[in-house]
Amino acid sequence: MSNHELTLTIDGISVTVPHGTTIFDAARLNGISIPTLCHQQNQAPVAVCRICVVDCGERAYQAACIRECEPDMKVQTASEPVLAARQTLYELMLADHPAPCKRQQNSGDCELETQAVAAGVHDVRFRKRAVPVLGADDSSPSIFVDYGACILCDRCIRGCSEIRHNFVIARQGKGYQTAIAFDANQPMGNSSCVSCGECMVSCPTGALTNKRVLAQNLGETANAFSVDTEELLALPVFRGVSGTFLELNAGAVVKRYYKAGETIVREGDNGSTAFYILEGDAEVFIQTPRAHVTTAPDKQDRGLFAVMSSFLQPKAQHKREEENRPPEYIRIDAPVDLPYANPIAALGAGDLFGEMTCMSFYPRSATVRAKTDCVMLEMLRNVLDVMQKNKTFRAQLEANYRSRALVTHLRSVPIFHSLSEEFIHDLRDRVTLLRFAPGQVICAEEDVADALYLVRIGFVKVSQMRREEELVLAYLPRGAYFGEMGLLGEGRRTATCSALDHVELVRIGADDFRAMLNQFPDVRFQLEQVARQRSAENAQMQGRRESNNNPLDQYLAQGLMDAQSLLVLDLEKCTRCDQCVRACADAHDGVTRLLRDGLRFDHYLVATSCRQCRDPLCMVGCPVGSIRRRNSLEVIIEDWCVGCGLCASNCPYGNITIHSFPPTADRPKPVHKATSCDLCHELEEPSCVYACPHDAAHRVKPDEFFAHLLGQAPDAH
Amino acid sequence: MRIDRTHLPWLAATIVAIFVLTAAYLLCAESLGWRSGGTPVGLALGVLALGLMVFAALLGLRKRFPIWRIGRTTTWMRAHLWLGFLALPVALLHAAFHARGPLTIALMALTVLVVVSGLIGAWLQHTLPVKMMREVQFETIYDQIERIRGNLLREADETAGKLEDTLAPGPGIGSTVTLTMLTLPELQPEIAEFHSFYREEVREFIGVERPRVKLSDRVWSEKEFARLRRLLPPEAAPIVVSVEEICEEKRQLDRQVLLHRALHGWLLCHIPLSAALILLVCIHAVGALRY
Amino acid sequence: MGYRRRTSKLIARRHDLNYFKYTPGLRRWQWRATLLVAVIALLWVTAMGIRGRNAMFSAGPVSSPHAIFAKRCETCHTGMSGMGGTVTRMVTFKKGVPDAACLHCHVAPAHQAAQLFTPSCGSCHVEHTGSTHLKQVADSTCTQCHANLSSTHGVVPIADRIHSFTQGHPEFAAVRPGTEDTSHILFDHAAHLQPGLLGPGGKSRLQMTCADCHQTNAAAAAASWRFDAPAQAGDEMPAARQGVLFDGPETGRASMSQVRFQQNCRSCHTLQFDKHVDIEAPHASPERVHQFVLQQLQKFVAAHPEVIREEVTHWNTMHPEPLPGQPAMPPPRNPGEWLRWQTIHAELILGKKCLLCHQASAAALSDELALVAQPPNMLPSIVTTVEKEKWMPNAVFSHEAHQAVQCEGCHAARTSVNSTDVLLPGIATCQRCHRDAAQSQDRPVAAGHAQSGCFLCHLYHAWNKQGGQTPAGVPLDQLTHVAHDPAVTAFNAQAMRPLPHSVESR
Repeated sequence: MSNHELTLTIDGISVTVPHGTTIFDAARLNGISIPTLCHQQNQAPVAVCRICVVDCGERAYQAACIRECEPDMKVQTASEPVLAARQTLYELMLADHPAPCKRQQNSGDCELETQAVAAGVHDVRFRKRAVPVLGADDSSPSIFVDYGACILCDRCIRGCSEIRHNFVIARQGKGYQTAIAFDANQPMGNSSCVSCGECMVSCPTGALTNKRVLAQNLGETANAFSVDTEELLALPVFRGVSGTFLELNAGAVVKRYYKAGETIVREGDNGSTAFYILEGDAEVFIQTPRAHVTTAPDKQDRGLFAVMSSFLQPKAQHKREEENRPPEYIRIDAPVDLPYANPIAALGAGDLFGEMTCMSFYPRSATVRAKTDCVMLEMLRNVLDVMQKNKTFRAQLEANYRSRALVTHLRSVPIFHSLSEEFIHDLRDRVTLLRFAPGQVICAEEDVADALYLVRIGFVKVSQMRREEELVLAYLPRGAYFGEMGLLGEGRRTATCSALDHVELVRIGADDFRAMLNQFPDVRFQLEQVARQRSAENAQMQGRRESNNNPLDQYLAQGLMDAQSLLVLDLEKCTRCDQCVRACADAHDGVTRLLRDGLRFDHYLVATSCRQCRDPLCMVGCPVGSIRRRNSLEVIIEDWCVGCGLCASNCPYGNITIHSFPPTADRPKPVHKATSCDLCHELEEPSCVYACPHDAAHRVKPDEFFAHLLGQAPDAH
Repeated sequence: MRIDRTHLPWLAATIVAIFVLTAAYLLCAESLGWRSGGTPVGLALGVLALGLMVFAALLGLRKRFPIWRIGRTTTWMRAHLWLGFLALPVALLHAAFHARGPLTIALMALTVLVVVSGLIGAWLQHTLPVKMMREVQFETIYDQIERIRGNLLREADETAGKLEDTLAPGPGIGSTVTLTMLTLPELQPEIAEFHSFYREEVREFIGVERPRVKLSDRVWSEKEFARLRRLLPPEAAPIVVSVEEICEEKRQLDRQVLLHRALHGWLLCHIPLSAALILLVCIHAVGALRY
Repeated sequence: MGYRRRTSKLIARRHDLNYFKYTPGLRRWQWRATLLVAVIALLWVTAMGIRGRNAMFSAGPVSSPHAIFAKRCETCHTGMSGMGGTVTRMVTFKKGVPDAACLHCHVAPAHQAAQLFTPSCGSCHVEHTGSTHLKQVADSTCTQCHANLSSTHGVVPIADRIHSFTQGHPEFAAVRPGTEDTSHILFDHAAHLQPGLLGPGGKSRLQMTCADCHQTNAAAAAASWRFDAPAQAGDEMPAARQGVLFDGPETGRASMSQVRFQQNCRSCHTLQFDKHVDIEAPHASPERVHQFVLQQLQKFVAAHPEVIREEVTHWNTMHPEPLPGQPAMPPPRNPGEWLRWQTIHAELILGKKCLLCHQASAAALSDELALVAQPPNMLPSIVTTVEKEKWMPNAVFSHEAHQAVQCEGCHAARTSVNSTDVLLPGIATCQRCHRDAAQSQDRPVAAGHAQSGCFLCHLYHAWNKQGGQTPAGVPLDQLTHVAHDPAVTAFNAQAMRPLPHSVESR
C-alpha cells in the first residue's frame, strides 16, 4: 500500500482506493451500486437529493457522491435504516411530483419514479402540493419544461454550465418557491438556450422532455424514416446503448433508403450528420483531382505556337525531391483513404462515414454514391457521441480502421515508408487508439518523448511557447503524424501537441517499438538516419521561428507579425498597371492569386495575397487536408480540394478565394476550388515580381524588410 | 518607374553612346562629304535607329506575355526608356539634322513627338504615384471604383438609417427587441436636418460619378459635419463620423480617378503615335533601301 | 479611421477577381486611337504614292541638270514597266541604272583600250545627291585602278601608285628633270622682267609684267596688249601650235594665248634695217626679208638718186663703220654698189636682230655671208620655232580659275635666264593649295584649301583621243553635256513630251 491509497470497508468488503475518492466511486469501483438522483458521473457532485446517503458511522448519514473516503471507514450502503431513509426521501420528492410524469408515461423511465418503485415506495404519505410553483413551459421548440416534475436535482444546471458551457439555466427563488430558470427567468424559448439537449438528457425526471418532432434536425425528405428504438437496439452495433437515450433522441436518428446510383453526400457540402451503412455498397470518391490550382501549366493543345512558347514558359526548377512525389493517398472522412492516382474506394455494411462532419461540423470531404440499393442510418452528433462511448461500436470502428486505413497511414510516415510488410503488420496490431477532447493536451513541450502518434481523425495543433506567446507551428490533419523521435526514446518533446477538436490518435509506444526492432535490426539504422535529419531540420526551424516582438501598432494590428512572406507593392513606383495581376493569372490558369488592394504599411501596399503565416489558420479544418505546407514556406492547395470554403473563411486577410471553374468535356458540372498564392513555388521567382515593369512588386520577409521601421536589426537566421 | 540611382548605369551608357555615335558621325561625315542617311555611316545609324524603335515597340509585346522568361519586365522597361530616348539623337544623326520631303518630315516630327511624349510620361510616372499615395489614402483598384462607389452608397444608406436606433433609449445593439416606429420628440428637428442633409448633399455626392456639389470641398465638408456632430447628441457621433468618412473616401476616390487618368492618359498620345512611327519608319526603310 | 471597420479581408472581398480581364476604358481608347492613326498613316502614304510624289521614297534629290525628268524614274532606271500603273512601276523598279540609259544622251568615250574593266557610269557619277556637278567624282573612283594599276597587257609602270593628288601622284611630265623648253626661241625672262628697261622708241624706262606678253585670249580681247604693234604686211603667221586644241575659240579662258612678235615684241624689238628706209622689215623667213630689203633699197635708190650720189661721193666721211662679220668691201662707186653695200649692211643688222631670239641652223651661220653675190641657199637657215600650246596635254587647267594667284606664284620667270627653262610649276607648287582629295560631290571647300580631286585636272573619258575634237568643238572644260547628235536631239525632244499612259499630266 503506497502513500496515496487508503483502505476502508464498504458493506463488509475491504476496499483500497486512492485518496480523494468518494464513497460512491469507491463503492462503484468495487461493484456496489448506490442509487443516486442528482449525481451524474460526468458532472461535479452537489449532493442535493441525498438519495445516495450511506451510513459511515457518523452522526448523520453522509452523501456518498460527495463524501471522500477516509482510512478505516466503515460504510453501510444498504442497511435498514439507510433504506428507510431513502424511502422517506423518495416519498418526499414524490409528494411534489406529478406522478406519473410525462416521461414515465412515454418511456417509463422517470428515474425518480422507477427508483421509488425499486426502493419499495408504493404510496406517498404526504400531501401533494396544491399548486405547482410554476406551470409548464412550451416555448422551446425542442424541449418541454414541466416545472412540477422538477426535483431540483441541479443536473440540468450542471449539464448546461459544466458540460456545455452555455450557462443558461440557474435556480431562482428560495425555499418552497425555488425553481429552475432560464436566463433571467425567461421562457425557455425566449432565452439564450441553444437547444443542445444536454439538460434534457441530464434530467432524471420528466421535467425536461423531448418534444418529439420527427426530422426536426434532419430535414424532411422522402427517404427518411423514423426508427424505432427497439429496431435500433436490435442492431449489434447498438448493443449497450441506453434505450432511454435513444428514445429521447428519436428524432436524431433516421433510416434512409438509397437507390443504386443515388448520391448520398456531395464533397464540399456542409453537414452535421454521420452515416452508418446497414446494407448495401457505396463508393466514395473525389470528383475532381485535377491540377486546377497548381502553377504547372497543364495545357493539352500542342500547336506550334504553344510548343515554341512553352520554351519561354517558366520551367519547374529547384523542386525539392520530396515535394516532387505526389502523395499516395488523400485522407478523407471515412474508414478508408482514397489513392491519389484513382481516388475511388468502396464502403460496405458496417462502415461509418462522415464522422468529422458530424463531430466538428467540417464540410464533407468526398462524394458518396450508392453502388447498390443501400439502407443507412443518419445520425446527429449527440447520438454519435454516445455511440463512440459505446464499447461495441468502438471495437468495430477500430477494427475497420486497422484493417483498411491504418497501414496506409503508417506507410505515410517516412520512417515506415520502406519497411517490410511483416514489420508493418506486426506494428499495426500493437498500436492503441486514443481519443482526446477539444483543447486537451496530448503531449507537452519538454515531456519525455515516448511514443509516436498518428492522427486518425480531427486536428492536432503543434505549438511552442516563445516568450510567453504561443506560436503555432502546424495544424496536423488526418493521416499526419508527430513525435516519431519518441520512438527511439530520444530526448524531450520540442513542441506541445494539443487537440483542436475531437481528435482520435493512433499511438505507437516506444517500448512496443523497441521490442520490434529486436526482430528487425536493419530498421534501426534507417531510423537513426531519419532522426538525425529531423534534428537538423528542427534546429533550422527553430532559427527561422525566432521573431522579434518589438511592437509597432499598425504592424501588429494588420497581423503582419504573423506573416513570413509578404507581397508588398511600392506605391511610390507602382503605376497601377495591373501587370502583376495579369502575370499571376497567366501563370495560374487565368485565376489571379493576388489583388492590388489592401491596407498600407509605410509607403507599401500589402497586397491581398497569401502571407505564409506562422500560424496558418487556413489549414484548420480542411476536410481533405489539401491545404498544407510542404517542406518549404509556401502554403499550397493540392488539387483534390473540394471547394468547401472553410479555408477562405478562416483566413483573416481574405487571401484565399473560392473560384468556380466552368464545366469541361470530361467534367460536366462546374467545380469550386480554393485558390491562393503559392509563391510560384515551382519557379525561381514569383511571376508577379518578375512581371512588374517598374520594380515595384516585391516578395519580402517582413521582419527583415521593415526592420528599420521596427527599430531592430534583422535577426540573423 | 521612379528614376532613381539604379538608373545610373543606363544614363552613363546612353551618354557614352551619344558621344561615341556623334563622334563617329562627325568623323565619317567629314570624310564622306555628302551628309545624308544614304552614306554608310548614315545607313548604320538609320538601321540602329530602326532597331531601337522596334525594340522600344516590343515592350508592348513583352507585357502581353508577362511570364515568359525572356528578361525581367523591369529591365525591359528601363531599356525601353533609355534606348528609346537614344533613338532620337540617333535618328537626328542619321537624318543629318535635315528632313526633305513629306515622309521624312513626318518621320522627324513623329520621332520628336513620340520621344517627347515618352519623356513626359516618364516624368508623370516618376511623380504621380507618390502624389497618389499621399493624397489618396483610400486608394483602391481603378477598374473597381464604380462598384465600390455603389458599396459606399449602400453603406452610407445603412449607416444613416441606423441613426434612430442609435439614439433610441433601448437596451442597445444586439437586443432582440426591435423598435420599428420610434418617436423621439425632443430630437426630431435634428434628425430631420441630418436626413435632409444626407439626402440632398451626401447622396448626391456619393452616388454620382463626377459630382459637382459642395461636398467635394473638404473644408466645407468638415465644417458641415462638425456642425452636425454638435447638433446631435454624442451617441450619434459614430454615425455622423462614419458618414463623414464615407464622404471622405468618395472624395479620395474621385481624386484617384483624376490622377489615374493623368497617369495613364498620356499613353493615348504616345502609343498611337509610336504605332504610326513604326509603320512609317518601316515604309521609309524599305523605300529608301530599295529605291 | 474611427468607426468603420477596415480590414484586409473586408477590403479584398469588395472586388471582382476577374476585373483585369475586361479592357478598361482608357485602354480601349488607346486601341482605337492606334488603329485610327495607323489607318491615317497608311492612307496618307498610299495617297502620296498615287499622286506620284516620289518624295516618299527618300531617294535624294536629283542633280539639277537631270531635274527636268526627276519625276520620271524610268528615264534612267530603265527596266521599269512604264505601261502599268504606279504599283507596277514600283514593283518593277530597278535600283541600278544601266549604262545604256546614260549613253542615250551622253557620249562617253572609253578611257583606255587596255583597261581591265570599265566601271559603270553610276559607280563614278553618283546621282541623287543633289549635286550640280556630276562630273565631280570621288578620287576613289580613279584610285580604284590607279592605286595599283595593271592592264590587259600586264602591270603598267606609270601612274600606278596614285592614292591622291598629294600621295603617289608623280611629278608633272613637263617639268621632270631633263625636260627642256624646245621651242627654239631664245628668251631671257629675267632680263625682261628687271626694272629700268628701255621702252618703245627708246624714250622711257619701264618695268614689264607677265601680262604684257602672256594673257588668255579672253582677257586679251577685253584688255589689249600693252605693247601691241600693228601687223606688218609680209609678216608670216606663226606656226600652228602643237598639241590638242582644248581651248577652243569660244571661251579662250583656260590657256594663255600664243606669244606673237608683233603684239608682244615688235614695239621694242623693231626690225629697222637702214636709216634711209623707215619701214621695218617684216617678221618673216630670211628669203622674204632678203627680198624685202632688196626691194626697199632698190626703191630708195630709184627714188633718191641724189642721195646716193651724195653718199657715194662722200663715202669716206659718211659711211658707217662696217659691222663685224661684214666682209671687206671697197667703197661703192655707183648706186649698184651702194645698193649691195647697204643690203649687206642691213641684212647683217637684221641678222643680228633675228639671232637675238631665233636660232640659226649651224650650217648657215658663218662668216661667208656674201649676201649679194651668194646664191639664196646661203641665207641663214632659221630653226623653225615650235611653241607648245599645252604643256600638259592630258590635264585640264584654266588660268582664269587661278586669276587670284600671281603669275610668279607658280611660274619662276623672274629668275629664269635660260630659254630652255621650263617655267611651268611642279606638282609641289600645286600641292601648296590643292591638298585634299575629292570625296564626293558638292562637298563645301574647307578653309585654306583649294578644291582638289582627280576630276579637277584629269579626264576619264578620252576626248583627247578623238582627234582632239570634242563634239562640235565644245570646250572640254565645259564638256558636261549632251552631244548634239541629231538622233540624240530627237530623243531629247521626245523626252520633253509627257510619257504615254502616265498618270501625271504636268
